Parts: sequence; C-alpha cells; structure tokens
Amino acid sequence: MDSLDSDSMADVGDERKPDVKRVRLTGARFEGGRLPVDSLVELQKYQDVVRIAATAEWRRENPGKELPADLRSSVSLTIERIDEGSADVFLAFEQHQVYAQYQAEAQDTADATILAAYSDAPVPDLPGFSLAEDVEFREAVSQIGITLVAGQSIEFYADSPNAAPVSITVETRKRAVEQLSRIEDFLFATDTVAVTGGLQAAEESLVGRVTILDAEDHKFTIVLANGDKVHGWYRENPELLEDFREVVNSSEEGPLTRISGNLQSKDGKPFRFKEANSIHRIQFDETVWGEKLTSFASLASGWEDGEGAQISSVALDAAQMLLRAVDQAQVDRPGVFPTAEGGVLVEWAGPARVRSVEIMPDGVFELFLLQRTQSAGDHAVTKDLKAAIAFIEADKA
Amino acid sequence: MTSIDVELLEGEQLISEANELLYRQVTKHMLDGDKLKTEAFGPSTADREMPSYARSSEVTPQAARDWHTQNAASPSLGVWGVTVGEAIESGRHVVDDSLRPLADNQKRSPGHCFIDFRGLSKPQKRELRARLYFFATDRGELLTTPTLEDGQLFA
Repeated sequence: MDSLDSDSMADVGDERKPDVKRVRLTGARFEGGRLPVDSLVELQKYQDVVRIAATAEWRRENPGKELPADLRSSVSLTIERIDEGSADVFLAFEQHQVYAQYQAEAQDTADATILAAYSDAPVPDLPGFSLAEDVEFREAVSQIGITLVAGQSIEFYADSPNAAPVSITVETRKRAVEQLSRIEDFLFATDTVAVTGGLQAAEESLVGRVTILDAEDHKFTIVLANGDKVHGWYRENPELLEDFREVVNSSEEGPLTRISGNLQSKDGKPFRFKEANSIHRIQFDETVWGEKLTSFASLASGWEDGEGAQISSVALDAAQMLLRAVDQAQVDRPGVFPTAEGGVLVEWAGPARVRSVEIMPDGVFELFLLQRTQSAGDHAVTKDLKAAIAFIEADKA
Repeated sequence: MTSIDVELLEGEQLISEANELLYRQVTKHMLDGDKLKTEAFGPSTADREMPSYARSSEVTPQAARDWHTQNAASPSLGVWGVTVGEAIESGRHVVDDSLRPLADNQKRSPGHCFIDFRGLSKPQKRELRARLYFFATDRGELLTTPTLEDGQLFA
C-alpha cells in the first residue's frame, strides 16, 4: 500500500525543529525520492485547512478589525527538503513572526479536528468560528484524502509522533466526512456563536497535572480533575520553563499543580491559557483533610451555581494548618466546606451550639460562636493561627 | 436584628402564616458527609441576599426538589424546612415574590419565597443562618426521593 506519512514535529522535549511537518511517502510510486504531482494536492488541502483556522483565530482575537491582507498567504507551508530513499518530505511554515501565534493555534485546531474525524470521536467545537467559517473549515477537512484511490493511505500523526496515527483511506474517509457534516454540529456551532459570542478571557487559575510540555513552542497541557485537557502557552514568561519541567509527567502521575494566567473559557468551561504567568505545586497532607482540600483546590471559578470564587492557595494552606491542630486537639470532627468568597469554612454545628472558623481568601480567620440560648453570638477576627487554634480547642474544656 | 426593617419591591408581599413550612434545597457543597453547613440556610452569591425557599401551601417537598433538580445548576440532594414563625423568631421576615416581574431569561420555582437577608451585616447573617439551622435540623430532613430522569421509572 502506498503511504503518505505525516509526522507532527511540534512536541515536548522534541529536539527536532518545531512547526515542521514530516510527510513520508512510501511505496513503488515514491521510490527514488520521486514526488508525484497529485500528492501535492493533499498537502495543499492541509494548508487550506490551517489557513481557514488561522483566519478565524485572528478574527476572534481582533473583533471588528479588518483582516490583514497578508494573513492568509502568510500561513503557507513550504517543502523544506526531500530526503533520498522513499520520498521523505519535510514541510515548514514560511516565517512570518507577526502571525506565528495564529499559525501554531490554527495548526492545533486543524490537527485536533482531523484526529477526531478519523477516530470516530466527536469533532471538537470550533469556538469563535462564524457559521460560514465553520462550514468552510469542515468542508476543507473533508477534502483531505480526496485524491486517494484504493490501496493508498495517508498516515496522519495529529497528536504526537509517538501516538498512533489516524489512517486516511477511501474507506475511513467516508465515515470522517459523515462526522464532519453532522447537522447537529452545525446547529450547535450556530447557537454557540449566538449565545456566547466566542471566548471569555479572565485572570484565573486551574489545578491539575501537567502532562505535556513543549519547550520550543512554550506550550503545555494540563489535565484537570474531571479529565478535561486544557492547553496553554507561556511565551511571555519563558522563565516558567524550569518550573514546568519539575512538574511535567506524561503519565498523569505528576504533582498537583496550580497554573494561573489569562484563561479563555467557552460556555463557562476552561478552553485554554492564552498566557500563563505563574505555576505552583500543590501538596496537602495524606489525610482525609488533605483529600478534601485537594478537591477544593480543584474547584473552578463559578463552582457555586455559576458563581463562587476559586479557593485561594492562602486559605487552603491556612486550612491545612488549622485542621492539623484539629487532629491534635482531639475535638469532634468538623464539617469542612468551600465558601463562595474563595475561603474555607470549618464548622461544628449541633442542636445547641454553632462554632466555626471561616478562613478568608487572604488567610484571615473569622471566629464565630453561638449558643442557642444566647441572644447574640460571639464574633472575632484574627490573623493569628494560634488564636484560631485556641478558639477551637475551647471545646475540649 | 430584632427591629424589622421591611422594604418590599413591586410584586413582593410578606407571608404571615406562622405555621407554613418553607422548603430549602440542599446541594453538593452544602454537605460534608452527614454534616450540613449552616450557610445552607442563607443566601448563595447568586441569591443576592434573598435565599430561595418554597411555600408548603403551594408545593410538596418532592415537587420543590424535582423542580430544583430539573432547572437549577446543581441538583438537590435533599430538602430541609423552617416555618415562617421560626424565621420571624430568628429575627427576619419572609417574602413571597411570586408576582415580581421576571426578565425574559429568568425562571421562578413554584411557591417561591425568600427569607430576607437584605441589609444585614456579615455577623448578623451568620447568626440568622445558625438560628435557621437549629430549627431545620430539629425537624430533620424532609422525606423526598431523588428526582428521576426523563424515562427513568425507579431511583
């Protein structure tokens, strides 16, 4: 079987040149480094897909502005070299630094869509795409492989060079075209644009495990507690590379990590970090409390019916110290809850009395005691952990 | 908190039936195992100082739970209740706002009312929530079952 083998080169720790596509053509037709003209059509179709995505990306980032005349043409693939043997072609983007960001993001969108279409997986949302762009993009992806005949294939490494490729053949393409033209996807895309108008950006943080790090592209992937993957960049903060290296673990067994920065969300769900600006490792005691605080740390903004701030690291650290004291004091087990302000509530509530310590996002302790028979409760505010501990130990007496 | 400062908006009216029970839906982050937090009886951020309850004269606990699960962001995990009289004894009044105009994208649960936290300081809110907690937990969780999904016959 003739094979057109495309190998993405933009992955983590990869020492090869980034943003290069390797296209290896094997089989009798390609021996001696020959490159049939009809196979170039497939490369051109891939370029079309990336161009459409880059245009949509630019429009999303620059609402209301006129599209630069040279943007589309700048997203151009060029054959860098053809090695001997079977036709072993190396493609690269022509260098247009001003649009490099759109090239990279468009390539991600294109690769993810091709991967899904040929993996029988749901085609990912195309946030920010207008209906016309959505239709044009899907149509262009559908066109890839149109020149193939029986016995030929394109092996497409959309995810990483080490992952299994998707195979584009006459047979698999039929199903992919169906996937790409599902009417409900078009309807969903229309609703999405109408309701959200694209992405919302805010300074936010996410907690999860970093599984992919691309040092060349200043790019990373974090897997959240619910299994969702979120990509991001740290182009303006290259010094974060060392911090990322300390936490990255491809098998999702690395340390829990909080990444903060400019996070773009779609329909209330994290979509990607446009720019990360800090990274912190999160580590709690291996206790019931530690498990609970880990779950609080993983709460995304809006956890309380669309509202509710993320629980601050300061509050979580203070809660951990207070709960260690709870264990040592041998008082009753309290209820421990996240608060909408981004803090932690440690509370002993019963039929006759409520005693609580609310840890505010800035680490301040708000102490509260109400005996049912009292007409008024006792309230105090302190920054002193010892005072908070003394307050909870009063129950021992 | 003993002086009642009532300022009603259009479509709001005070509830005076002291024995009427008011249902409160409890969701995931209000529970830690078997422990219910006192904040469950006060406003969430989205409540804007007007925590939602449902009037027993209008709906059953089960109907209130089902409506919540089918319409709110977080499903109801159970129903607790306080009476109008207990809310008043705790220092606040209860407002039926079922006639208050709604925006196009808003929904209001059947028998909707709220215990009025508007204008209270943070310590006052803490105390009010705690007092409501005492009454509600004296009564215990009201008998309901998890809301069935469409087409589901058994829980």
